[in-house]
Amino acid sequence: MKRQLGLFQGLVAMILLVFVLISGKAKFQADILSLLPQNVQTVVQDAESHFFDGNKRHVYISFSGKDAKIAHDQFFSLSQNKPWFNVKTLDLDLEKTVQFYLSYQGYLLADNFSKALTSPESYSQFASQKLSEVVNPFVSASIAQDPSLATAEFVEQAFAKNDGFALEDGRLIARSQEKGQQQFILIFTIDNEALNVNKAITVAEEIMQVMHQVETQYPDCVLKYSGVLFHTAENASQAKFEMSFFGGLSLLAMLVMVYFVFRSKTALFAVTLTIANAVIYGFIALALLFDSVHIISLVFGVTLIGISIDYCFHVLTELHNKKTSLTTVNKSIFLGFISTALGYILLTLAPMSFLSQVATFIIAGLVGAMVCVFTVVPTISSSKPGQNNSALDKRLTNLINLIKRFQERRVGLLIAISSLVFVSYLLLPIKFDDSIADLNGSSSTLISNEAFHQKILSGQDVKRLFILGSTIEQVLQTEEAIRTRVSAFIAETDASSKFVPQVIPKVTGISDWLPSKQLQHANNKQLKFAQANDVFSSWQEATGLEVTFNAPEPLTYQAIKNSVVAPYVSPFLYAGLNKSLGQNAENDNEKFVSLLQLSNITRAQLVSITEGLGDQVIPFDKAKNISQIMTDSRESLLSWFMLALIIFSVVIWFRFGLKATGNHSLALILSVSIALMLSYLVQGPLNLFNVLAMMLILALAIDYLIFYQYRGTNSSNVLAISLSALSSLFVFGVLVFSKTPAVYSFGLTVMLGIVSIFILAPLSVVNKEEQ
Amino acid sequence: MNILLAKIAVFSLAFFCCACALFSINLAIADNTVIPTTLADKVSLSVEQVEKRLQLQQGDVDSQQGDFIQRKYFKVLKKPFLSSGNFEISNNEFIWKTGKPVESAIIFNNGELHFTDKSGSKKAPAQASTIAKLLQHLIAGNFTALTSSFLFYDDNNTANCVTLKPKTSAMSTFIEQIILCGEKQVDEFVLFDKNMNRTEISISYNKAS
Repeated sequence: MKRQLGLFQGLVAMILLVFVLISGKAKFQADILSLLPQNVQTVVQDAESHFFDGNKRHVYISFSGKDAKIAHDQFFSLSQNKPWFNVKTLDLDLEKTVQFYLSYQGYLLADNFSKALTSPESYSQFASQKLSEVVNPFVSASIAQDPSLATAEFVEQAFAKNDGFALEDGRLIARSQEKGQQQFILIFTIDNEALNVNKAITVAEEIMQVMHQVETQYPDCVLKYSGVLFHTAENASQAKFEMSFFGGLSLLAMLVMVYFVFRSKTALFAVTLTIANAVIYGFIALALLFDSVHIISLVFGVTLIGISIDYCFHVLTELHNKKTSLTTVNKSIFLGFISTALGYILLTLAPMSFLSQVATFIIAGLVGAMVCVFTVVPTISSSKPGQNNSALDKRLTNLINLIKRFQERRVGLLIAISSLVFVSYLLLPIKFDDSIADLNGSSSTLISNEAFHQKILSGQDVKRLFILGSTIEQVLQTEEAIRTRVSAFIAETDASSKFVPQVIPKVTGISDWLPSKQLQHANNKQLKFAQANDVFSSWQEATGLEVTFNAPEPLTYQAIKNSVVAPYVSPFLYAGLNKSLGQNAENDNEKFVSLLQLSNITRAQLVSITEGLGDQVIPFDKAKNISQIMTDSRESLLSWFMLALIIFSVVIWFRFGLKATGNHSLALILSVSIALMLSYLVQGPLNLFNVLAMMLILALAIDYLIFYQYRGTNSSNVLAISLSALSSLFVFGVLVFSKTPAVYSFGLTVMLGIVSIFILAPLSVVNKEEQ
Repeated sequence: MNILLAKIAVFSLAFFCCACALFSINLAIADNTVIPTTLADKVSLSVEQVEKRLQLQQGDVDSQQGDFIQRKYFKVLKKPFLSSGNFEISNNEFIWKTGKPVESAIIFNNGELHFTDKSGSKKAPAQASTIAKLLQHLIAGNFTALTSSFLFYDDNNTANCVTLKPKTSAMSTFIEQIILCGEKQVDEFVLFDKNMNRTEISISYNKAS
């Protein structure tokens, strides 16, 4: 009956597996950005996606040194027929832009124009200078309709503030240049599909091939690459390698161990079947519950092999020792499963969504393993009992004797270990350092290329601010308040020291293109006042043109939204829509967020500039924000760890009494403390992933304690626990070879925790129920 | 009667032709005679052909300085807007200094462009860089550098002139056409913008150059 049930579930699992594979439900991704913790503020999170998601598909290639220009052209010509090469430049349609703004003349004022309005002389001088410029497309396009040149100057200022690059013959040149050498940059956009695991690797390889061709042809030119694509490709290849290498190595080690211990092909078959069933269950659950599976989840998921095999060991050792009833072992396995599942569920408290995938994979996998060991394994293993292994039995007896000797000196040993741990924590307090870099296994070349491109594209000391408001007007007014403060700061600094032109702080934002209504009305007032005071008279006389300001109403976002200027504004304004109110009018939205960029500003200056603006301004520093979220999560995980420990203690207290509770809790605390301290000594400052490992140590340690508590130090139990510990050591230990710091930290701490609990668990057992 | 009618018709025709001719002359005088070249069906010239046509001697342009007079003709202005100043070109530097009516300068030095006026020095906007390089190449008669942005055509009216037509969208944003004239060195060029306003620049070189 059990065998039929087992075969039936296996059949159903296989059918489901075929279904998810054929239907294409199993999708994989390796986008490094999706691993990052999510911000709790939904509007800010949505705004962040709105502002930056498009950048995910950008690929940046820079060319510097001798032959940079020719190398740029050569790369362009070699790539232009490739499917991944898609250069989209924002066409600089000055003519249409000027025509659009001409409808609002009288409401728009540039800074220089505003300053020139003080007297007829200063205005004439300003206007004469504009007309003396060899070519000024803004003046040329607008002088007939707006002879005051206000519109021309406003549009010119907006364009000047918003171009990060100089465009020379269609090539982008970074404005900041090193040693007078020009740096050419090629930015192209890849399709979304190119970020999928396999495609990303292929596309990145093709791009590198073209780069290599160009480098061979022009050896004096330095080419650098960056973009999410390369992170994805590097992390995907790394994760694929680690998953197959670690998984394969663990599996092989365990199969060797099983064969060595049980000397039976049926045991090997049972173990293989259990792992296969576990992996199939886990995989089906992932494919059905998640839109796409992150490949890093599968690297963490390799640990399933080590835990699922434990269940098989317990059943096999029972059968190996010719036990007739599996009730106790099944009960222990089920309790063990509950504790492990709870441990993995605790992982999902961390803000990284991929940990939910890890938990799902492991929990579903363990269900699969449990079903297999309850149904199929007893039937196949009992039919062909394995040979006795006398060498193993001898070693096992030695181990049991050692455990018993330890148990006799339990109190002394526990006091000694506790004292040692306590003193080590006093002498060497553990430090933590959470960083976004923990999640990234990318090469140092790529990381330094990225920093280089960021510097030449955005300039030095770039700070980004999210400006929040309940109306667009509020957002614009806040932006303008910051601009005023920056201008005051420049004036103040300029007065005290002579500025080098390159380091003048610069502000870029949507208010360059769309002044607030408040400012537009003030502009209109200023212009009409100047007109009434004959500021334009001498200019009018000299040119024979008549200056008038007769736009009926100020410029609005609604007008911008459907205009030629929209590409300069819409990507930097996020509207959090209130669906119940509709989205036709500006004020129907709950929250607006704009992106304001300040360059050449230090963090301290930024703090003083944004002082008193409260919640309306959120400094956006992705790396810092994520590190902070990780720190917060780590701290909250410690609280959850304490809670889990208390719950476990209460359960043990009810089941086994106060003494057992004290001993077990002490064993748990000691093993986690030892794991953390040893990790700190090996790794240096710890991070969120070491703390996540604590959760898993707790879950696995509870398993060992329960097994010891239920089954005592009988040979089959000691053998099963030893094999479990060894298998866990294999699977978690192998993770320390991972290039991804998060995986390394996690593996290291769990591995050390398992060693600790393996030693401490038998010391904590009291009132053991020998079976 | 028929003779009278015929005389009237001939007279009217002659009057109409004279009126048209006078009107055209008047228009041409008012617009200072320079009109853009029609480039339909023309074959572009090579750099060598252009240099031969203008009898330019490359290699003599490493260092030049001189004065310029600029006349800007806007359709809406009755008379051209005049400005004047001086310039200097060397290997790594280009200075275009306007003296009248308002003092200002654009300085292109080692790939960095700065703009100065009475309020001080500031980094120039990106499009100014394109214009400054263009001016530098035009005055230096550096058609090799100009060939990446322009196609060259002969000018119908004058033997010593060539017409430059932008071939990149970056350049055609600012310029519709340039007519450049000179003999052994560049003496004058006329820039037509997208709105067909034009800027005439006459160059005189200092003897030292």
